[in-house]
Amino acid sequence: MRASDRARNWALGIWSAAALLFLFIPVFLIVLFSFNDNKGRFNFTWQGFTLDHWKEPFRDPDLAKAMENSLLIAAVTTVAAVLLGTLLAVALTRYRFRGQGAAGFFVFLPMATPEVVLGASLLAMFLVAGIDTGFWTIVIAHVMFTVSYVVVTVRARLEGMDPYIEEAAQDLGAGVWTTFFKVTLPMIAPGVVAAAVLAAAISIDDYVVTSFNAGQTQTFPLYIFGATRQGVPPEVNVLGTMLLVGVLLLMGLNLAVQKALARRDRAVVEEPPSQPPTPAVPAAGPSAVAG
Amino acid sequence: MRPMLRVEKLLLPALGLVALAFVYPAAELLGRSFTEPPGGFSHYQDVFGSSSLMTIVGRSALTAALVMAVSLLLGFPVAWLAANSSPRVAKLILGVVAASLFVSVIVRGYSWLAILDRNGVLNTVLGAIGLESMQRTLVHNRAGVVIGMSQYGIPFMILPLYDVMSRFDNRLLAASANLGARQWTTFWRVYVPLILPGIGAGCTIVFIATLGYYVLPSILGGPGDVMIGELIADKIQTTGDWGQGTALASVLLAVALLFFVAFYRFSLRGREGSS
Repeated sequence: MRASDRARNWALGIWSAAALLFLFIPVFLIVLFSFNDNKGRFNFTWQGFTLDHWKEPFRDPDLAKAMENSLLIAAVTTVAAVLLGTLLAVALTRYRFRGQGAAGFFVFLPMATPEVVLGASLLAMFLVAGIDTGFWTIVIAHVMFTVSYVVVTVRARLEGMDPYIEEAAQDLGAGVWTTFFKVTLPMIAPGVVAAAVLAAAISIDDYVVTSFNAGQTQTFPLYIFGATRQGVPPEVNVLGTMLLVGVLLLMGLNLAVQKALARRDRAVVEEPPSQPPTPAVPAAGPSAVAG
Repeated sequence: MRPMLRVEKLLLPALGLVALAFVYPAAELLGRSFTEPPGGFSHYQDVFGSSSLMTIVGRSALTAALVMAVSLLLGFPVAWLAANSSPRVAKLILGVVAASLFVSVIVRGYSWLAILDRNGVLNTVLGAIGLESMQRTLVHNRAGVVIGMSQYGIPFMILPLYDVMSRFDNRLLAASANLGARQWTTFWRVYVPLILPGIGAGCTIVFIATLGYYVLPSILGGPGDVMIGELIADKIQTTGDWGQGTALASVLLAVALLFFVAFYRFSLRGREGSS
């Protein structure tokens, strides 16, 4: 390696480290300040270590209620968006039909629209239709704009998958739905789980669209944004940390399950010793990393 | 070929939802910008004729462009490093990126306040190591907005960049060098053109996401940093001025869609055509 190459790699490394630090520092401080023995209305200056906020994260009943609503909305949204999005992703990658390109473009649109426009449009429609805004209007809004993310994520997984395996299943007599549940779904499962985590995370964190369609319903982001003026309790940091840890645990679990399944698949393929040295079927185990 | 009906069954619910909860409401919004009294183009004339409103529109576009540039500048080397490291290091880097993505944006905004405020963490650290002269207040002004929004945008830049870079065939760089190209030439004439779809995707996502976003500007900015999104929300939610609100929202939608369609034609369609 030449000296100039080495210098370039060093510069790149330092630059990247600075960028990662820039990403990481606010996250680190959120966690750190959840242990801050805060006295004032704002949790902005370090005043000493305490575990008090972790003992009673739901001390404020309004905050607890807002968090409960957010989790409930995210749960319903995730189930609906994953269901609808996965079906659409399968249709877009496994079938050829007229208007396919248009359908693919169409489903991207909510992703390409500023959230404030999505929120204002929905409110305009709900007002005209005479629908009271609240829990279910938030859910409708969230499903609509997370479904695009599900389609993109699941589709990427499907595109990296061999379609002949599904055809083989059908040739062997499996029906369309049997093939889907016994062959396609297990193979795209890591992508589906990744999409679910993404959809839940987007739903829990959304402020803009929700603020237009929430009516009297409070969610976690609405509560904490509204608290800017009165003061932000340190429990917000605790809940923020809990959400982060929850998402990271789910992602880690997804990876671990994938690895275990891949190992099992390899074992199944390699096991029969009577086989000739070149197996007729190549290892079909999903070897890709995260979705 | 399988029968049409089955495909439609798979498509209908999701596309129906997008039609019902996105296309129809957007049409409603657009219609309302023309029908709210006094009607016609009057609200657009008001918007384009008002220098204070146009200042806010220009400021939003400029801020989004700046955030996009900062995100590219900081995200590019990180994505490159992740794409050219061992799987273990790559996982660690992408883990940090993902972790920052999954923390509440509003809570992150408060965290930046604690860091950048006059008596914040950054100034305390600078004071402790004897660099008082470098102490600055970086919140309640444009700097705070750009810092906070860039931290929000960088993961959206890194992920598509990494996706393209990790599939790049590094032998092309060696081939270019063997043919006598300098590193700089190889970078600009071989590497950048081939990862352009990733750059395009990252820039499009960051630009559109920050163009109408107003939560971080409202936490980290000053009185002179109101963005178009906040203006729209304020007009519709608080003052009930649906005419100007919907006209502004339609302008914002048009700009975002133009940007998106340009990107879609330029990169995604090309990829679909080849597969």
